[in-house]
Amino acid sequence: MLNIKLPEFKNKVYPDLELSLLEPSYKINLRGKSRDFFTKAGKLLSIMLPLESNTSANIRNINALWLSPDEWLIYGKDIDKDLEISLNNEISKLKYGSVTNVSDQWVIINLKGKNTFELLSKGSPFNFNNFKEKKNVVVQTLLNHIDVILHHQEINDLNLFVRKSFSEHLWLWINDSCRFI
Amino acid sequence: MKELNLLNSPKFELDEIVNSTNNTVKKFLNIPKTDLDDANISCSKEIEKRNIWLLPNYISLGKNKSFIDFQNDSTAKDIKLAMREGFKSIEHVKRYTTTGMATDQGKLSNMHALGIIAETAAVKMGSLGTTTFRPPFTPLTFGTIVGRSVGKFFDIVRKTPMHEWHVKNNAEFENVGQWKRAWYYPKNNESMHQSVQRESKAARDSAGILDASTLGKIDIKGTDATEFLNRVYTNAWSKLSIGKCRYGLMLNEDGMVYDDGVTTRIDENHYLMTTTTGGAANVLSKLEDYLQTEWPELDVWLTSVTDHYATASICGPNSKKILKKLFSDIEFNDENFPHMSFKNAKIDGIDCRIMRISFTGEHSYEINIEAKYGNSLWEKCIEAGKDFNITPYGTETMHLLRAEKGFIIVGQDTDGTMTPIDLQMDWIVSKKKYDFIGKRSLYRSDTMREDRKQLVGLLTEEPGTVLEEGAQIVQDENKKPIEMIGHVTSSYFSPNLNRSIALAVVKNGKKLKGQKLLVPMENKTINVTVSDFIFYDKNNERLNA
Repeated sequence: MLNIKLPEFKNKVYPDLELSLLEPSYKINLRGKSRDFFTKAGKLLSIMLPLESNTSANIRNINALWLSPDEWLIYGKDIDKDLEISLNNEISKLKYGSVTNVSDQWVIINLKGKNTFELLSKGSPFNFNNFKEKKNVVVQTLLNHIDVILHHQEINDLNLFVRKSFSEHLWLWINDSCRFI
Repeated sequence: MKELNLLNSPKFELDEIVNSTNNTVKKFLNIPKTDLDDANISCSKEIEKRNIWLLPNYISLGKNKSFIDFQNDSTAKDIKLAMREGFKSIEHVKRYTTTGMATDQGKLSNMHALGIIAETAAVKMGSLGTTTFRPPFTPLTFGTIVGRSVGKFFDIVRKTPMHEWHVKNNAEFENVGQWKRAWYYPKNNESMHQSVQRESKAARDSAGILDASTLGKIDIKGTDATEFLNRVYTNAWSKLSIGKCRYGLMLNEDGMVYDDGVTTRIDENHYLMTTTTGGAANVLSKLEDYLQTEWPELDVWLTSVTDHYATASICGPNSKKILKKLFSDIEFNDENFPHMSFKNAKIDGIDCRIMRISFTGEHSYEINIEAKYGNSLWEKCIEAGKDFNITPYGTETMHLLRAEKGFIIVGQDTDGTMTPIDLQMDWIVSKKKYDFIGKRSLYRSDTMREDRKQLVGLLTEEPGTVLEEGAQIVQDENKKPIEMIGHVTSSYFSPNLNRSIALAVVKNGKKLKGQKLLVPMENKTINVTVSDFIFYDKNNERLNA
């Protein structure tokens, strides 16, 4: 049997900040712009894909993150292979858009606590002043020069998406920076 | 609390010192008055304090450079010239001289510039205005701006899913972009040269395995995906069948080679493109840019899947047998699974893709699997290949093997000034296609010149001499000034040919085949002969061996 090897990030607790790995998790990249695309995606995901830039929509255990006017990242506990197949059959195969499994492309790290943005500010050029006051917002920015997607789902509860190959380096950087918050 | 005795506190100003001394003398001599009582002493307190914005110098200002802005190199002379030319407003002086316009936004230069302007115009400082003061208002360390980019975090590290295996197996690593790629795997204190010779011999004689996970991978979907590839690559894609792979060369708009890679047709409207390791992000950006700005009418969707897949590349005459052990349900004969084709497969119930493509000239397969299974797949390949002495090889051996075959590496054998024709890859440029990126530039008079630098092979007169990459090539050492007609781009000692080989770009190289050239080095001049750039298996017989 092939073994699954996930990043070996142990949960960490720092003053007013908790770090944990949310893997394995299913992630799907959706791209499209036609009316049929939105209808099919909405029906299968039971969620309206957010149209406002840098926002997210969520229902039960499915999150849809706005990445660009025609691109969304879907993730959550209720996303699985069956849903991917349905999306593929209803969207990709009917030529309404594209559905791509990116589960292993991204690693999700959850940051929780009052010091979440204190930490992020140590290595990101993004101004979090307004961002940190809002729920269900998304930003694609840099953290220690590494591309990340930040999904602020609840106040001071944030999921950070980083490409798998960068994840170990960023995890170490985050833990190092936590010493200074 | 002890009371501070001000009378005994030190005095530093001249008047204070004189008065203090006078009082002490009067007390000591017990006299009521001295001559010093009436003395009028002018001390520094009374002298007007003055800032020096421009240090006086015995050399005249015209001959001396008094730098004001250390980033933009503007001088006091520039400021005085600006004022002579009639620029009075501080904003105009700033723009005329660029003082204060560098990244420090005048933090180091503005006050001096204002002072010099005030002195030159004989006005009070600031009366001609001040520039807009920009944040940071107080000095900051660079660390505050860039974050903790220090120590081991200074340089970003990307690792493949098999990285730990490489570490455990004594790999030396090479930085490729931000990736750490296994460079070679020394055994028993081998030198790099010895390792590479062993690895490349094993890959040609039996089987080698390479971690190719770092190659850029772009998932392309949409009804216009084929048309998109036709526009992006120089060759034609319309007739590529589902299940087949094709090598493509991507040009810049100036006609110069930009990137290359193999693209596989997964389905009717679905392709998987591979790019060079270092070019992956830029290629995706460029393609997305074209789709959004130049070809918005195309129904094409791009998604990066570089990190989603791990790739193990197995090559060598025994690669087929190893694959057969791993995938017993697939027929690996040339009819069912020919070169430049792909198959969906399962290994232990896990989906993967096998591409029969080769960068070494050997019979080769690349297995793509979701990254979380990458390490396990790699170990399984090594296990299956044990009977065939499967040898992990690194990027150095990969470079050697491909150089033997004359396969280019974009960025090593090209430098942004090479067209496909310069690379003697005319075969990949479609004459029938209406258009592709860079097509028009290939027909400019300059790009059509016969005497452009062209890719050639070089063989040294002494087979054991390995040329230095980057070494200049000359035709006539006595010509003054000496004319450099090209340089060595790739150079190795090939154990399979038992001699050194090199690729080079040489002016008018195509016509110099068979001619002798010179490579002058520090201590000697090396004689070389221009040769074909394919050194090994010219008829590609090993691909189907």
